[in-house]
Amino acid sequence: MLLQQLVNGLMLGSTYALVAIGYSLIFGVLRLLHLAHGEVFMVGAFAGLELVVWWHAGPIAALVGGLVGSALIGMLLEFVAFRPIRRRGNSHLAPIVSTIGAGLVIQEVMTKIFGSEQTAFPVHFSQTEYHLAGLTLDATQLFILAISFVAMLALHLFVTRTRYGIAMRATSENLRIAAVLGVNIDQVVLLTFALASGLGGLAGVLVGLNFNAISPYMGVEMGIKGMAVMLIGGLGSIYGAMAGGLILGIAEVLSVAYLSSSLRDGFAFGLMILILLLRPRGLFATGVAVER
Amino acid sequence: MRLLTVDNTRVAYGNLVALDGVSLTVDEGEIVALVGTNGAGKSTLMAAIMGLVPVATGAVTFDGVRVTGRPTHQMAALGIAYVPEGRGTLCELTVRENLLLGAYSRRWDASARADLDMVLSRFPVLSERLGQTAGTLSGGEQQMLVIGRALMSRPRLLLLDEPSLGLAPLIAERIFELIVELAREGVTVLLVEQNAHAALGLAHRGYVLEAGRIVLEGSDLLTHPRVREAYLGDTAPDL
Ligand SMILES: Nc1ncnc2c1ncn2[C@@H]1O[C@H](COP(=O)(O)OP(=O)(O)O)[C@@H](O)[C@H]1O
Ligand SMILES: [Mg+2]
Repeated sequence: MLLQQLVNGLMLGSTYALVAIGYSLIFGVLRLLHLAHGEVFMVGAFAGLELVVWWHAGPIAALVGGLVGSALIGMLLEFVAFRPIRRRGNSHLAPIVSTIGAGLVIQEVMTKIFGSEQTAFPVHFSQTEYHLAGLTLDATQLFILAISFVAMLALHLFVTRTRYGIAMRATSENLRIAAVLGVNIDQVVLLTFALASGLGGLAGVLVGLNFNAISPYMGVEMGIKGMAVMLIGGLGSIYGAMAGGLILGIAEVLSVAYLSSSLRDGFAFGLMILILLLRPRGLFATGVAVER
Repeated sequence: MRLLTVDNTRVAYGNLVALDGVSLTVDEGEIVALVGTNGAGKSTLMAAIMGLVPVATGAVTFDGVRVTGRPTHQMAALGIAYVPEGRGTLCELTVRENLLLGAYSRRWDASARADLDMVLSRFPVLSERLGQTAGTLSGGEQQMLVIGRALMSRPRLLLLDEPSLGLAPLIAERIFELIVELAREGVTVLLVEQNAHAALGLAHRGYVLEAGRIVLEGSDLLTHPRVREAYLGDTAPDL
């Protein structure tokens, strides 16, 4: 039934949104396509898994673990792989190569440690099902929806209500002006990596909870989807990433339910191409793409 | 008291020498005008003061502290506010956010809120538009916004790069009056203008920059024959 499918789509889409927001935040501030962001997401899933396996952590602790784990990896990448190259000057392509390399290294290291097979994600959740206006949701689904929407709301409040959040948006629009106003750009960039990566890690754990399976390669598909979602949302727009993620999730679920599961990605990407034909700069076009 | 000293400063963009050993001073409480044709290097001088372009040789000293080579974001905290050419409005942020960012380096406490009220009472048109994105303001309103934003940092030195550019004459006039007002209240101003007549008219002293060099300086440039001929459109200077 349609309403149930929409809710399932929202749930799937909210994880896409969390990943896409990361691409948008980083692209906004640095004009950098962070091609290792999918791997950062994957690291979050494994950080959560480790807590569950070794410390018998519950879902909340696993989420915190994923968030912190990914945020640390994201900041580390900025320090060792991106900042030094940025300092060397003006090539737009060199940093992208660096993100590709970083992604491959992370994938290889994680494969060495965890093996290339899929791993279960054994968090214990109550099996209670909730019935609401004809909808059936289990505790896991409710948890995923609640966490991702709370995370998005928190991000919205951060970027609109706090000094650092507003400075981040200022940097995203005009780095020179932000610096002139006293904003320490290196600090903002680091904060952006922490935030973007942390949200990615959160998504990693949520995806683990949802499908009860994670692998060192889970970041590849998610990375591509997250990037596509950023594009349909509008480069650098976090609200575009939110809307785009939800649209992609709903499109996938609907195409599985009403067309065929083998058409899932074809239909979803067809829809995204259609959106881009109608709005070439995405749903929430910002000035980000054209300036500089 | 000497507030700003630019000493024999040279800036090059690749092979192009934009500033070729420029020296200039600004004393506390002064309005100093820097005039010169398009491409003379005026904006580059401001960028050099702010640490936005690397200085090859020479030094910039502010309030006795050598600031050459310091990162740009430290300048605001030191007391230098800069309104660049083309204004530098953060168009996607609200008017209120733009103004608050002016006080970024001092945290957003009660004194910043008091300054916000002070700026809004100076520019009432902004207080009606606090929640609007700044990109929706007219050119004149944006110029007031960015000057207001600069004042939010309680600057000791205000660098204004072509504040009248692109404004209707009446609005430009209002901006020039504002500069005089600010100076009377104790803000020191270094003003770059292509409108040499207005700038030299309101400034205490002036410098003329040509092809990266200071060619003239003084407090009576308005009557200087060379200035009148080259910058004020006098074809037959009275001798
Ligand atoms: N970012 C830049 N890269 C290369 N050349 C520049 C740059 N900015 C300015 N220039 C050149 O430096 C010279 C001085 O420019 P500028 O300082 O903008 O002059 P003004 O503000 O007096 O019009 C000009 O020849 C200009 O073309
Ligand atoms: Mg200029």
